[in-house]
Amino acid sequence: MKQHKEFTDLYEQYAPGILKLCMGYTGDRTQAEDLLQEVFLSVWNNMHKFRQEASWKTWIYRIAVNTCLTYLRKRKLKTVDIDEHPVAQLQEEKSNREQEVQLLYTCISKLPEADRLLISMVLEDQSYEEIAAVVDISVNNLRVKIHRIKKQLTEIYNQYARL
Amino acid sequence: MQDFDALKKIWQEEPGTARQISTPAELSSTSQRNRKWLKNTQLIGAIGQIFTAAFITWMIFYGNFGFKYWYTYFSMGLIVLLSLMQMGIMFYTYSKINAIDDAAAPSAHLRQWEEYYAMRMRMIQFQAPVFAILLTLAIGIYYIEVLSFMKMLQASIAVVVTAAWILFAYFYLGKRSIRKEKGRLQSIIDELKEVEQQLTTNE
Repeated sequence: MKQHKEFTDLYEQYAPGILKLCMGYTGDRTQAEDLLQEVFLSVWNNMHKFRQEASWKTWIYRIAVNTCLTYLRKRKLKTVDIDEHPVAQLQEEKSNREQEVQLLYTCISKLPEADRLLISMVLEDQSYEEIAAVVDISVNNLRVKIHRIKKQLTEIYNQYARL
Repeated sequence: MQDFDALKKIWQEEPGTARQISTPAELSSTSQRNRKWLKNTQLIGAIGQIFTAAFITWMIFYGNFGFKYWYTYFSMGLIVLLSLMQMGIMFYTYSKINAIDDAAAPSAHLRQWEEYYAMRMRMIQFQAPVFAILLTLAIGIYYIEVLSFMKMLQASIAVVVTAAWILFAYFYLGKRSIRKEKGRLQSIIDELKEVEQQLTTNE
């Protein structure tokens, strides 16, 4: 019972951020929700193995990153092609804010797989130390990667926002 | 023209509303179907092999076939052995999937999956010929006594049909499905390696 409570608390706290991470990874709400469920099923199944060597946040994000990266081979992701889904069409369907958010998710999903996850964590305002602990790479290496990905994402976004 | 901080603002203003749950049981069973499916396939297959082995063993002892020669029973025993070997392989595969650590560092996690798929690749290369040889041997031995009760023509037809089926199954169906499976496994391994490289490359 205590474990149930702990799990639902963790879900409440981290599910919104993980969902956004999955949205950035897939660019698609349905697939992101499926991934979110998969992540938290794995969290539930592995909770007894948690040794407090890292924080819950790092541990859960690590599971999320692993789940996303291996999801790739399970189902080749069908990222939304922006050319086939122009902003003009989205405009009629959604509010301006929703349209910007969707465009951002779609642009992130155009990046290489690992970059999508790294940039999603940066956008979520996680510190470089936290992200480095999740993906197990050095902070310096991460800093260089993030610099490149930021530039790349901004270019893609601006390119498509002009359409 | 938006800069990165503007993109961050867009991201952070989106609440990321996840479905509320009050218990882990509410997590959809449609998710995790892939890993679960991989595990269940092996587990159900292994249980099926246990039943097959148990059934044939029961037939050997209580089937009242009245075979005259020990080697006919030996051939049935060989099929039991094949079932048990298959069961062992399936349980081993199941344990390998189970051992993959979801909370390991991503590059280590990807490597674990790579190793699992490489193991599957080695298995299918080894398994198919070994099973084809042992099964052919078992059927061949079984036929010696069983076909001795038939006329020459009937026995010849039975041998030709069985041999043709084994050759067709091994050289056409088996090779084709192994080639397809190897292609699939290789593409998965390549994808995993590519993602692993994205994470581990120093920039």
